[in-house]
Amino acid sequence: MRALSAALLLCLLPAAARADAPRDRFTLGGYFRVMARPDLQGGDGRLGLWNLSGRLLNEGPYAALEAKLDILQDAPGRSEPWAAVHAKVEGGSVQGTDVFNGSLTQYRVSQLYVRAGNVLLDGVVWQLGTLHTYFGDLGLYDLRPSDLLFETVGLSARLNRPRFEAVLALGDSGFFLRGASGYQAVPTVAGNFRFRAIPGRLELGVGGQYMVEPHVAGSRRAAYQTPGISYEDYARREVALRFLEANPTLDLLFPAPAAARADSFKLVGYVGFGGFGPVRWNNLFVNFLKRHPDAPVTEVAGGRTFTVHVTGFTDERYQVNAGNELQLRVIPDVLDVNWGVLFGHHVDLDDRVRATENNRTFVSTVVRAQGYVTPTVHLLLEGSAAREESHNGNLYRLHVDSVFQSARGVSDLRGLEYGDARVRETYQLKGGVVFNPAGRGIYNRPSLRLLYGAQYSNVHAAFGSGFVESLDDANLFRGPERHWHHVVSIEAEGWF
Amino acid sequence: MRLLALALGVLGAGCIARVPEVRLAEPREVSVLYVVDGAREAGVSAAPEELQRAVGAALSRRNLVPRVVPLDEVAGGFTRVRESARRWQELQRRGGAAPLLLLVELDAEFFSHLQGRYRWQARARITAGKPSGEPATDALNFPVYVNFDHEQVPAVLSTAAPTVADRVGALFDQVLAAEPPQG
Repeated sequence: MRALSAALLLCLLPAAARADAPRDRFTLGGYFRVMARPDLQGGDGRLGLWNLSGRLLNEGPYAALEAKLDILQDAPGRSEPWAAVHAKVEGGSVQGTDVFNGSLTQYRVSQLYVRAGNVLLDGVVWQLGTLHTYFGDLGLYDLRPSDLLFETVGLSARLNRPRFEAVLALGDSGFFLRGASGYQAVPTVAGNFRFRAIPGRLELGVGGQYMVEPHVAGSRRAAYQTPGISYEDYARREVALRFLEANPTLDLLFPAPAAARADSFKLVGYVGFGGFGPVRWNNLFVNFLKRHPDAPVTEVAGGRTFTVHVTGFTDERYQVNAGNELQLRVIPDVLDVNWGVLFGHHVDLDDRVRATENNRTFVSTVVRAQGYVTPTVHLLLEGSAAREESHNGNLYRLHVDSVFQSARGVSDLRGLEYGDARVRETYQLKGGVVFNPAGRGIYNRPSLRLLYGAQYSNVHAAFGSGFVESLDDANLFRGPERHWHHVVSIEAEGWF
Repeated sequence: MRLLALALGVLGAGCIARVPEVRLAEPREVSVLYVVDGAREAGVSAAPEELQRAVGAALSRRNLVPRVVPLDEVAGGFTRVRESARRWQELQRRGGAAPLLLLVELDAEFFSHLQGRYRWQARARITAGKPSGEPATDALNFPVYVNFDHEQVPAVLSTAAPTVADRVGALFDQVLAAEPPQG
């Protein structure tokens, strides 16, 4: 009765306009990561080669700014249309931290879109512009195996309800996939569905994306395959040379390209659960994808430039990737642990001759523990083990003079392998002190970190470096073998 | 000499005066009303327990004893009326004999998925004072990041709890500091 009388009293008061403070129309968010990592072993300041060993100490500087401007602000509970425009600029260079010294050429407008609601369909949020979407990410690896529409601009409709979220999108990926070689439309359709089976406890998600490049007769940018050539010649970039050897003086009869089919797809799956016992949350992502075929390449032979169309040589590149991250609160307010696992199996059914990263299997695990000395001073320890195996022969160099190990010092100038081993194994151990002004939490930011990391790999110099890779006897910069790498880092990271 | 001056300056930085927390000699009751407004949808809901605990702790440090006014008693009217002044009037009516009142209005709106984290924009409007006289107010508009999609408004406001609690405490420091000295 008292509640009813209060409601009546409030309603009887003079009808004033909404007097709560108006929301700001403009909002700016962002992210930064900046570090000083003097590398006294000739490296470029990163402990390993890539984030297969976890992103910590393997990543470089990064900055992102995302702005949102409310074009039409809505009143809560009303059905008037609302709209907001988002724009995001991001890139990986900061003055003094990397070779580009903060050059704006390393930055890009990665997202620009308008979101609108209460238009045509109740509860549907429309997005027009860039459409990148994903179920979540693997923080330890900084990877998003479930992402879709990264390449696409177009229109999506998102329906978000307490028990499910559905996204359906149509767009074009042509400029992203074909921008460098000349635009060709690549219509794209995608959708994903997240089912909150037990909200906050269990979620399931599936999604898919399909991209097709319709053939446009007469367009030199369309998908073609140069007929009658071998993959091995293409791999060596000797297609034109072989043709001229077989057909001297007939260079004008170089085979005309034949129309080819170019399409690609990605299927994603997701299971998330948590909120019980020490398990804060567990994310499992899986994807199966077929990469989009490559654009043509050019070769110079006999003083003439030939265009070799390779759609048929690059249209069977498949990947299976899976990643899991488990976040545990082992001892509340004392110790948190995150455990990640990553697996990838990549095959190129066209390429059976070269040792490349298109034919490999990798597996990795990363464990990070963060103990809280005080709410703001933490100790961090992270370990990782990673294994990469090439399917098509040797891809890695175990030794600084690997040619002497694999071919008795006789180099194989016609070889399509790179080193003397099929397997690269990498182990990392990192630790240090973290200052988190905002309190406890492995992913709580901002973080100021003082870290030391050590890496051991069976491969020589498994980190970005200025070492000369040539095995030429005239190499003046021959150095010792380096299987260990050490890095000390002072770094800051935060979202705002 | 310049080095000495620099060293003294650095050391002296730690001696910069801070505004002290006010602690009352005797406990004093505060009637507290939390309101979480929908950012896009109509309706109000209760503040998450974690936020209430954090604010309660900030009040306790000042020897203030919170007594929470159940939102159910006013929810119907608050859904339609978002004006803080009217809500304050309602709290004045329902605050009982408490010598101090506190109104905490909150809302949070999703911004975007930014570099692996979910960015929300949280807003808080804090009104505090005695049942009679002009209250003191503070307004916050700040980002809150959470890790997962399923962490919606309650989780966002729980994450924001330390920030809100600090500002509630600071506002009461002003309110109490303005009182004439006792005794």
